[in-house]
Amino acid sequence: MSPVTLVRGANASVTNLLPAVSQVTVGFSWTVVQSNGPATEVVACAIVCGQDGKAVSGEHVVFFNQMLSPDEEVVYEPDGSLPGGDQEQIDVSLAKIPSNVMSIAFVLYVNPDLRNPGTFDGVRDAVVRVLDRSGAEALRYEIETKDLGPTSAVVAAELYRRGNEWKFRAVGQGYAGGVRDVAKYFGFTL
Amino acid sequence: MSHGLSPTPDGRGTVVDGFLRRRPPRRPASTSVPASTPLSLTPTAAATERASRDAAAAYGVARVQTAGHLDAAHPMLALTRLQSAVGSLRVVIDGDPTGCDVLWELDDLRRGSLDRVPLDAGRRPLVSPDKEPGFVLGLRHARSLRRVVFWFPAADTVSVVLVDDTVIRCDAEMTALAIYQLGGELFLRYDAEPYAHLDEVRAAYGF
Repeated sequence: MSPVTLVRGANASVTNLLPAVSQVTVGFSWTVVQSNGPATEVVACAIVCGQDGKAVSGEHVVFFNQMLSPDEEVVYEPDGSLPGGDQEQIDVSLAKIPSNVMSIAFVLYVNPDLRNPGTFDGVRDAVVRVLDRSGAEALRYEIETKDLGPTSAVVAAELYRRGNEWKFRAVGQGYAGGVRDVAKYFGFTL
Repeated sequence: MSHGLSPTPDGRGTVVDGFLRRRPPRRPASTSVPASTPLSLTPTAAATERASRDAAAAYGVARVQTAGHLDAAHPMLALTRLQSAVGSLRVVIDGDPTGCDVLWELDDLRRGSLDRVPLDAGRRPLVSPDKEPGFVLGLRHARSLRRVVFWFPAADTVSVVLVDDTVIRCDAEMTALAIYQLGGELFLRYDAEPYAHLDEVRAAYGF
């Protein structure tokens, strides 16, 4: 089965594409334009949201330094250790997601170091995709980083409940204020 | 009141006991500092995090909320996992910055001072002087850090500024600020010992 490629704003049903799968991997990859100075450091994270669309709590932001959501339904996999060969991977156990969780937002942000942090101007070929546990790609969204310009965070996609289904939407929303703006929007404190 | 200097009920000692081992269990074979430090996480990190989900609570160390204060009565504060790993942390010096220095140690026990700081995987110094008097500590790779000790021989006051501009004010008596990384969380520790020279700081902290 060839993977479904999404454009910005489009969605597809994960439940229909992977009917027998209770655990999916969301993989991220990107390329940073090389320079001699400090590198633009991109970080992938997942924000587990409640019915109001806000993060359930700060502990529900899963990234390299907080690798488990409190109910362990979202797990950050260091070094792309799952099949698929992505730069970073976040594993979602659909069966473990509590009923109060309505969506999971997948975000890429440029680490806001005070020393030349960079922006998405220096990032190319950013892709977010959904895989099954064997590494087979079901969904793919190539983020239009050239349209993001000097922003330093992007909500790439979201996994969300629709009735009994889990759907995946290509969002592609950039935030000029970076991860601080993302935190404000999703209602958690950095 | 329980704080970081109190023994834990299960008899594991204090959080400070764990941090202040004067003699590390092993030393690196080489003291050379590479141009860039490999800082990838280990696959067992998630399992480790599961086991030590909230080290600060386990040790009774207060977390930094909207602001913080370090003094002799409240010598330790803990940052959340987000505060410990997003952006960078500024140590701002008010007053005379003369003689200030930094001692650092990575989790592989390589160590040094401000004159020989390694670059992280993003090609930024682990810690560097700020544009204004003070220092910047990068947090993206803070998991590779074991501890950093800032020494302020002549400063009036020192404050720590987090990525969201939360300010931790330090009592004017503070002469050194130690930052320890434990399971992905950063702990800040107040020290008011009257160190006359950096070598005294080195000796006190086992560098």
